[in-house]
Amino acid sequence: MHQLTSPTLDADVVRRAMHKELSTAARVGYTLLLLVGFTGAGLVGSLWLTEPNPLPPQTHLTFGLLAIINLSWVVFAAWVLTQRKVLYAKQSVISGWMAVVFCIAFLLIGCAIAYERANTNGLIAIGVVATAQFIVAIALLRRAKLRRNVLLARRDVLLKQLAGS
Amino acid sequence: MVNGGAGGGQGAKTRKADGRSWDFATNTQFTGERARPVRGTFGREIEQVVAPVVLTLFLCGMNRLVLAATIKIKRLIIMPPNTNSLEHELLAIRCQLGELAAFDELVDRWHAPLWRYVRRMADRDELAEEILQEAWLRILRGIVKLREPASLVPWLFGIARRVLMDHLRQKYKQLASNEGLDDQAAQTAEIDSRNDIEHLLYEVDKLPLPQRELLTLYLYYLEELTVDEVARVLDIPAGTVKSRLHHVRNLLKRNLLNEES
Repeated sequence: MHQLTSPTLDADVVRRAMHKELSTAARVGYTLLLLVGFTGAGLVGSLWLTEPNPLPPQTHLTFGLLAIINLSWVVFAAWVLTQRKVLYAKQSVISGWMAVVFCIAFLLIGCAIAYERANTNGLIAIGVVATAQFIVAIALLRRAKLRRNVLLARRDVLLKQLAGS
Repeated sequence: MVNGGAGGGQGAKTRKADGRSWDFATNTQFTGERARPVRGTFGREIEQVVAPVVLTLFLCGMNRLVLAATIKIKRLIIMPPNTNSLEHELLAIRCQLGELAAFDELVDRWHAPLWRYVRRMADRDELAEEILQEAWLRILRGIVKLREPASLVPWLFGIARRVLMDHLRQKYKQLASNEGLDDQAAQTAEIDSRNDIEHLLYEVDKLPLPQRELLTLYLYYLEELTVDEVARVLDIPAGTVKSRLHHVRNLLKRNLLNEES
């Protein structure tokens, strides 16, 4: 068995790297990227599907590419947020609120576009998609808040127990 | 911290709440010190009732029965909830909440013990550094998914162990893919590297019996992990941990008796 040694890897170095890794700004940035990508894909898709006049093949191709690009960013941001810059309880709540705000924005913008183009089918389609997104966002926010409340309650219990011992 | 010893590389000697003490600098001697258990009010009351019974039995010559009963009672009734485990759970929960200060505390408390653990298995400072950096990253990313915050400590050591195993697997694959090299220098480097890896594999996977047992002892006494926690870290049954501890204790007892005689 080797003799006990002091770490050659300094704890300060680990702490600095950890602070960099834990940056809230990066997590907010990736959440924004995910939401922008998702909203963008929704908007492009809505425009594409509710176009009243027949479109030339190039326009179909452009719409398709735009949707794919947006969805690629969504997949990338989701991967980062689940595997690399994971969201802690507090950050999950912040992300949940951001998702709710974006869904409302999508609903308003989408409905405005459909209304301006006097497209009833488009208005219904955007309304359905945006409402579904909104329900998911609310569910995510609620789950994040519940999780955070459970952790906070347990933290308080433990603090009391430790203070009493 | 209620109990001294294991924190932040304070030295080789450690002490547990139930009075177990071990000197890892020499690997052979108990320190002879006994830690005073932290007792709750309920514990004190029970002790007042039990003490006269124990004394009577002891006077009747039933030493073994008294000893066994005392250990059981201490473990089941007298010892209060382990303050350390509550602290660990609290730390894990604060990390899951995303408190930066909690992550600092996590590094302050566990960097040195993890280093010692990894260093024992890696056998080289550079490799240990690489493994520990990767382990800390995985800890940061994985702590959110830790379902039982109370089991923070075995989880930390388990991650360090898994990172080392992954590292060895990766190195082994690289060596296998480089077999076709003609260059003499490359061959020499490969042989050196292979020897190195084989040496590490030998150290980690095919440890000789005393070494494995000492690693178990290290986690149990120096890092103050419970038998179940050591079993989870080393991925072995709790019975194996107990038998290893029992085996080494017997060896020590025999050595000490030989020295005395």
